[in-house]
Amino acid sequence: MQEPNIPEFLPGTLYLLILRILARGPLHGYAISRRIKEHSEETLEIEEGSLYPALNRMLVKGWLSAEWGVSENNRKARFYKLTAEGRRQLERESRQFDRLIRAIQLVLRSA
Amino acid sequence: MTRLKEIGRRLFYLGRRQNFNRELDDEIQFHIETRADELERAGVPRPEALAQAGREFGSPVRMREQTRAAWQIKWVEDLLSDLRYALRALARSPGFAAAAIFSLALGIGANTTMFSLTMEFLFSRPSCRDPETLRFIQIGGNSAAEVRDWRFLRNAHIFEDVAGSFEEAEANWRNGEDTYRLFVMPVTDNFFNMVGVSVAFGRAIQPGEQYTVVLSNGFWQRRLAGDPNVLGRVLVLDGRHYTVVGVLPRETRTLLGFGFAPELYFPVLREDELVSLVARLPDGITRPQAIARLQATCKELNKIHPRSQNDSWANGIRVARVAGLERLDELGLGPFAAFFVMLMIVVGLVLLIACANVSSLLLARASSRRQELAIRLAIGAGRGRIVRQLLAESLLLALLGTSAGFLLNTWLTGLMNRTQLPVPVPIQLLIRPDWRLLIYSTCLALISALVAGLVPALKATRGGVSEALKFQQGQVGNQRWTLRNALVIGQLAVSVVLLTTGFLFIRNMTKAMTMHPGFDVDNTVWAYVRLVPEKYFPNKVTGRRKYGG
Repeated sequence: MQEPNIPEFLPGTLYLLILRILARGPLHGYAISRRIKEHSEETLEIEEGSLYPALNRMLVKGWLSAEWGVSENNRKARFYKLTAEGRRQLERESRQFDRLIRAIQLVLRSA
Repeated sequence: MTRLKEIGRRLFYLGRRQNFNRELDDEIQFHIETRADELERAGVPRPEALAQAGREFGSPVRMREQTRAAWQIKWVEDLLSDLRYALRALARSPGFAAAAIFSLALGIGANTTMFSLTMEFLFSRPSCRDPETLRFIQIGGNSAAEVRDWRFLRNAHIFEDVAGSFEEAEANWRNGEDTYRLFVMPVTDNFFNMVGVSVAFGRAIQPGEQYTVVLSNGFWQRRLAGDPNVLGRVLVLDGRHYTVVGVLPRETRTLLGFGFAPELYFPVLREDELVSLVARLPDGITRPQAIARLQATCKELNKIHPRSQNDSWANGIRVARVAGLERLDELGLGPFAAFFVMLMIVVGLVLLIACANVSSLLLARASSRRQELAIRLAIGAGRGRIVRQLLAESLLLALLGTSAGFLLNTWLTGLMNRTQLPVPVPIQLLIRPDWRLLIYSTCLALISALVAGLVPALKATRGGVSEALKFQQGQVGNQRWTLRNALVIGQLAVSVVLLTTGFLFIRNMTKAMTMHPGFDVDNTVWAYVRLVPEKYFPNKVTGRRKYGG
């Protein structure tokens, strides 16, 4: 699996980010990458070459569903939406991520 | 469960790949244009904005490739493309394809037909309720007991219920001016309800009934022309009037199996008629327990109905299943099963010959395709890839051969179902293609693809690029033990074995048929005339009736 070109990007985080962004409502691919960029104050930039394969892998896993609709700029766009399974996955992954971060911080403080 | 759904989604994708690719292109297009819109708003002219958005997007080809990879089941798509290629290759040489498919079809047709026959004879399920709890029982070492012995066993309540039926009975049916001899099955009045044989229409024989008759579907169709108003019709059997109450479904397999299909069923009349017994075991009773119960009851029976020469009913007790593998063992049908195993081996050898045949055809073809293969090797195809390609070709041949063999099978078994065998018992086969046959033929197809295709494929790609590019037939002629020789020798050997066995079998048959019986057969006529016993020995019959219950 190809991860975005950011140093030290933790594996699997891309899924978590996408799930979190979509938790607020359906979005198309371009908006997903924009949101991630904005919310991370321009630190995280997702390459398109990684975004779409990741979205499709998530479709295969059943975390997302996709539907064609009309975008805000009046073009035909594919909107991705969280499924019930995706919501559960988001909870699981954020819990795991919190644990991981806490563990890393614990190690950093002890040293 | 989630795994299964995932496979479902992937398969769904496989079905709409063309659509998917178009949608992905639309999505890329949308992404680039939206980015361009944004740049335009920031003041970049449209053409430049589009160009920049395109640059930022990176390689759409790579992205498409990776997005597709998210969905693909790699080996399935590879297999599909290999099969497509194989189909084109076969279409280019129809003569070769026809020969290979024909020989596989014969081999597989013979094989699956024998398999169907074996399954029908040895493992068919009787048409009844819960065959697992039914058991054939035998007392006193006889395959049949008298009706009063049945009544005694039944009233002893050692099993859930006991019923009886007599398989070797005949009756004369008087129809207008003609009289026909029929194979019939007298049954005890509880037989139908206890065994759970369902009727197509009408009703089964009920307890306490006499002079009613249930028809087999074949009898109703053949002899009564499928008369729709058959219920209530009166048949004259052995001079007595019987009322038709029901007709059995077409697919009725008797408990005895082996395609045995009597034409009529009616209740037993006298207490001294013979019936073979079948019991329904209560839940959780083991075979030794059942035998023990029978032994105890048989000792009681000795007091009421003593056997001649001080023999006991408790001797020679047998309890056997009515279906499955255990039936063969418990009924002592080992030799019978062995005969079918032998037939299966014979048709297995036939299939082996067919495979060898296809294998030599493939070998010959591989040498004429040397150049094609050499070029593919030269432009960088791996050996494994080409072997897989060639195997896909033999797999396709095997699948086509199997389909043709399957047709042959349905035709042959249909013929067997319709044919009345020239034997003195009513045999009606009910062979239908089922899931077992489907699994068996799929296995056969895979095995024959591998057997016929692997060696030629490996041989065709041996030696690598430099060897192959020499365009020479090479080594073949020089070696004494080439593969092709081995194949021909093997084929010949198997054929000789088959021919010899077949010849010996036929010779034994003719020997057995022309065996001298020790008297002059040329001027002897054997005639079988069935006389209704009651009509000719009135004294004896009334004499026998005196122990009736």
